[in-house]
Amino acid sequence: MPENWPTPTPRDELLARVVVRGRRIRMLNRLLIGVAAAAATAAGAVGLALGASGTVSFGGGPVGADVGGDGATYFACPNTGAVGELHDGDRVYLTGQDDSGDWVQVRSPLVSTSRVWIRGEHVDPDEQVDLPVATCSDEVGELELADDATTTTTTTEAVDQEPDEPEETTTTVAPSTTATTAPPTTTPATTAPTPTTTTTTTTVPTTTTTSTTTTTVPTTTTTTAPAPVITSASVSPTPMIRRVSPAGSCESSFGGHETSTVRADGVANATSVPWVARINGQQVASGSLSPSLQVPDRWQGSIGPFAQGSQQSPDQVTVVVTASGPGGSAQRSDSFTLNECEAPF
Amino acid sequence: MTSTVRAQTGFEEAFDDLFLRAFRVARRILADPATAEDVAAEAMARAFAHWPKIGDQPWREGWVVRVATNLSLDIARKRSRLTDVAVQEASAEDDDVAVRLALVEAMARLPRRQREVVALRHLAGMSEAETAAALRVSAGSVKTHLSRGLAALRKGLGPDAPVLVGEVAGDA
Repeated sequence: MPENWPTPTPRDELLARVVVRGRRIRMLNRLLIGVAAAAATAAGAVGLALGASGTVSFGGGPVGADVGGDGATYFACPNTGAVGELHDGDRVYLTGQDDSGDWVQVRSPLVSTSRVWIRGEHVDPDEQVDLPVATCSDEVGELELADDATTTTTTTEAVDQEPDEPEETTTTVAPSTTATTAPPTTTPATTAPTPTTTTTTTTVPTTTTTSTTTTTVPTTTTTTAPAPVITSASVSPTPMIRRVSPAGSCESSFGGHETSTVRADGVANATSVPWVARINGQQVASGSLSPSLQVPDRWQGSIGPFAQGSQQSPDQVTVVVTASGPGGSAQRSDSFTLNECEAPF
Repeated sequence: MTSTVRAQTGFEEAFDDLFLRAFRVARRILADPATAEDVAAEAMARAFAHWPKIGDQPWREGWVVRVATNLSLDIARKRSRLTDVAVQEASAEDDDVAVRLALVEAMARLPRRQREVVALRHLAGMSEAETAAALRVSAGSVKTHLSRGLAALRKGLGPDAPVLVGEVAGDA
């Protein structure tokens, strides 16, 4: 381990957290692939049992593919209006093709029970397979999502070359429970010949059955928004020291920390988490926390540096963190000592 | 030793170097060490998830840095749309924040390859040869993309664009 590890969190703790999170990502990816494969296998069996015409059995389930080149626009049906964009390196799952073979049908990146279409030249399948012929009328159309359900279902980076590039619609930072991955639902039997609601064998609580019907992913529909919750607030590491010029001279000479981390844990139902720092009731600093990518229900941000003050004695700083949301707000606080930097003679 | 354990061992050996690279570039974009730590950890978690495929590749550093860059740019762009920007006592921080936001917006508008080259060369501090290996392109391509990327940044940020990139890269 290198000396002077630069992050607030110790190296070994970070490594442990990274491994736990990495295993979770790996497990979720496998789960999604397995569920999709099982559902598609079942769908293929149903299709064959019904004497589906124009279908070709590919019992292995949806085939994974990477989007290449400059990305790809996807459509509700071939040669219709575009409904979204995929980026170079995004991962898709092939479920069919049109008569000409120029277009491939894939699981919607937004809603796994839906299907969209991409031109075949934009995808690079993991393996060569005869995709079943699908028609657009078979499909559950692209669903319109509510504003707050915008996390994408891009499950993995295209490993060989391009990691995923989180644009606005693809970020995994949002602290919603649907972040980063699609919910592991079963997929409808898209190879079945009958475009009826019986194809919807999924647990997703929607009732859309035609491509013209739009619906929203269920979000909070209660008239009263739940109240924000915050379990604790903390500032670590401490004590802190006021900065003098040149920067870092206090830390190196006298210990303490010129910057530190404000953390709020157990945060729920909040859309913003601002904080305010006060000395003797007077506000001296403020900021806003961001949701942690690593720890669920944690928001965090940095505090400091504090400029040198006129007092020579230490100050007690109280940091009040507020979890704010449509349902109201909740607060927690923490205190720490802020020392003067006594410059060496 | 199972393949899982073997893979994890290789990951642990590479962790320090890769994490620090990711942290450095995230810190240069975001300035906030706590969020930069978060971004670097997320980039490494994704690397762990794909380690069997990327662990032995010569471009694994570039892969991690690019994931960290994209995550950082995404967070920075979201923050720039918030009205409550962090305010500290030292007013000089406001200029730094403005520089970073301007740079983030300008870099986000670059074509993907130019953005990657600028990030790897200037923010991650990789050499031309390392950048070429990470992106699996020739050194000449790196030069071309860097030249074009900086030209586009100059257009968006003014003639001081390389200096601004250097200023941001010089922090942390």
